[in-house]
Amino acid sequence: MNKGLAEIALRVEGLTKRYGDLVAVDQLSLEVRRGEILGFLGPNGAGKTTTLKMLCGLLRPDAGRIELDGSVGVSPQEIVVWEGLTCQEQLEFCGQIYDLPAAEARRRAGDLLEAFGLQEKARALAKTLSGGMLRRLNIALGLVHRPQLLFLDEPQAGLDPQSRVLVREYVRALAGEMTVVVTTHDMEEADKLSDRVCIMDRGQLLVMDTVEGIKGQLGEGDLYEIELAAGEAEALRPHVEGLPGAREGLSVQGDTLRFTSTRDSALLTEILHAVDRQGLTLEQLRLRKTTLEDVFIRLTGRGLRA
Amino acid sequence: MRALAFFKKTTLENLRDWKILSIALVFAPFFVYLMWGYFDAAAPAYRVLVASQDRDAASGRAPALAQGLIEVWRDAEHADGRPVFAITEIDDLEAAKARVKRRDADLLVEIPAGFGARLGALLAGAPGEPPRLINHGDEANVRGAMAMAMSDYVAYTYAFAITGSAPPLEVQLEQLGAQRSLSEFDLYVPAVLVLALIMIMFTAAATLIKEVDKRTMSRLMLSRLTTAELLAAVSACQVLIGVAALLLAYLAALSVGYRGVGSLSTLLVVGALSTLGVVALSVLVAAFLRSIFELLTIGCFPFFILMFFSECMFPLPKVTLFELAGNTVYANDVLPTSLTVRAFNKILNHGAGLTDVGFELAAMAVLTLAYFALGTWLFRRRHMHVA
Repeated sequence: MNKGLAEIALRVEGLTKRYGDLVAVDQLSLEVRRGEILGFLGPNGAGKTTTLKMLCGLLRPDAGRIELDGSVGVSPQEIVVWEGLTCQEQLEFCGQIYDLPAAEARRRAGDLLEAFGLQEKARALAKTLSGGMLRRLNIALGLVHRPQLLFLDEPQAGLDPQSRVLVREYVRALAGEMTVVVTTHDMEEADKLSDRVCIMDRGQLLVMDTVEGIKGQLGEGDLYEIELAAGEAEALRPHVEGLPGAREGLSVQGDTLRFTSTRDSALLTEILHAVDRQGLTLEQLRLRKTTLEDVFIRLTGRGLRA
Repeated sequence: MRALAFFKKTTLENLRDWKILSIALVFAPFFVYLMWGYFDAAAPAYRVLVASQDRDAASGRAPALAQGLIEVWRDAEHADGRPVFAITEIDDLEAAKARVKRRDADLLVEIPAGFGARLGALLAGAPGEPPRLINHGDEANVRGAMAMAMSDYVAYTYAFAITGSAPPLEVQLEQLGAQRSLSEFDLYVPAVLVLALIMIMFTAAATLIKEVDKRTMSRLMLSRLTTAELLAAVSACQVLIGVAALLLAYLAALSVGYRGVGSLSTLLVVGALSTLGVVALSVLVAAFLRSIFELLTIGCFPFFILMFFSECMFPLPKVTLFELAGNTVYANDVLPTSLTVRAFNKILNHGAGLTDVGFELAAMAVLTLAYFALGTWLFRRRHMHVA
């Protein structure tokens, strides 16, 4: 084993994949620590799934280097199950093709069925399961052989809220036991699930840090969003810049002016006065906690689902 | 262990995919019954029209010697008791010729006037012209040619018997085959049984293509299962299905009177080995297909090629390639099932054992290995390749 991999479960350097003129993944470099849960965030087409396929060996990179230590488990974005087998049968089969002894594969299948709320469907053929159940089975199939490195591609897609919690809690419980790389475009899920998050867009890594660290890049405090009538946001900007404690991360996107501040509600009153003095039309004023979505908007100038 | 797990999985899937499995199992028995029904209904006897111009002036009936010939034709039987001819006496010669042209009859035999008298003169030892028969037939009609040969033979035999003279030439038949007479149905059974094995192309290819179609191949590729283990498991399962289908087809043939002289165990062993050849071809076919829909449409082409050129439905003209160790190798022997048809014929109709079909088995083994190698290489390139 590479010495550097003692603490690092996965190391990627200069990973690149092209499809004709399109650079799907562009010089991606990152390290994933052993036992951590890394959230891979980005909008559709950011290059997350392509990266994941290269990491687990289903796609050959055009350039770059991947070092990983230990066995790999994968739960792909699409449902990949054997429709003609029961839940129990396919979990056992999946264990056996990873060299688990039959008895252990049976026991492990039982454990996973219980953990993912599928024990009542143990003898049901996969083709008879609902979409949510299939999604849970899809995740369980990647876990049977207790991989040291687990790749989950959009595991929450198509799940009802109850199943989302169940899957999240299960994956959260895996932290420390195995290294998990999970892709999602759901900021909230990434926030709740991940130890660290990396944000990708157009094949490039934009930022990689802990959730709090990334949010901190927007500045401390709460996020203020002031939406004005069309074309008025820039007019308010110099007046807000002049207010004490309102300069952190100040930006104008469209008709909305954003900044963070640690000041209390007195700032709100000052903003309203400024709007009133300038004869501007206030459409909305929002005050809330910063999210990863805000970070993404700050980094790319557009929303995650755009 | 991994191969065993895959064998168990694929067997369960095949059993649960009962529609494809059912077709694979009943296809050959269905054709056995179809062939039996066809030969029984469509070819009971050669349809021969007899137009006798030889009439007794007083009674208006054919003289006794001419009438005797008609009765001999009518009484002629195959070894199994079935009549050789269906004789219809007809007065209108032109109408009879028209029926032969339309193939409503296989042959028209005209007994000219004076036939009985000339035969009688021969019987009395008086010199004169020999009795004469006129055959009206269509050369393009194979059944007509067969009917003519057989009616002529019966007529000669009758004439020699009547006149008490020895035939000018004696031909002796030395049996080389099963020392028994074979009906047309008996001759077809071995080839039809091979259909049971050819149908394995669908179940075997479906097993592989489903993994591609449903993308479960990616799970297999990520696991420790090797391609050799996967193919070994698929082959083992398909051999079981092939042998079961073969046994069902054989039982179907027995149920309608087929009596093969060879051993059933030899048949099943050769059938099992031949199934491996079909599985090898299925891997090759699966390499070019991506879905079950493609298998059931595009996949029919190689299936029919296999069925047609293996001579499962009817014999083809033989194109000899070369002689090898005293055995002739034909062009269609590039298909393992062509060799199977030949081996089954030897086993079932001539009582051959495994050593008697050693050449066919060896050739089958070589072809199977070659097709497995080519098929596996292509399948891996197209469906198990990291892009």
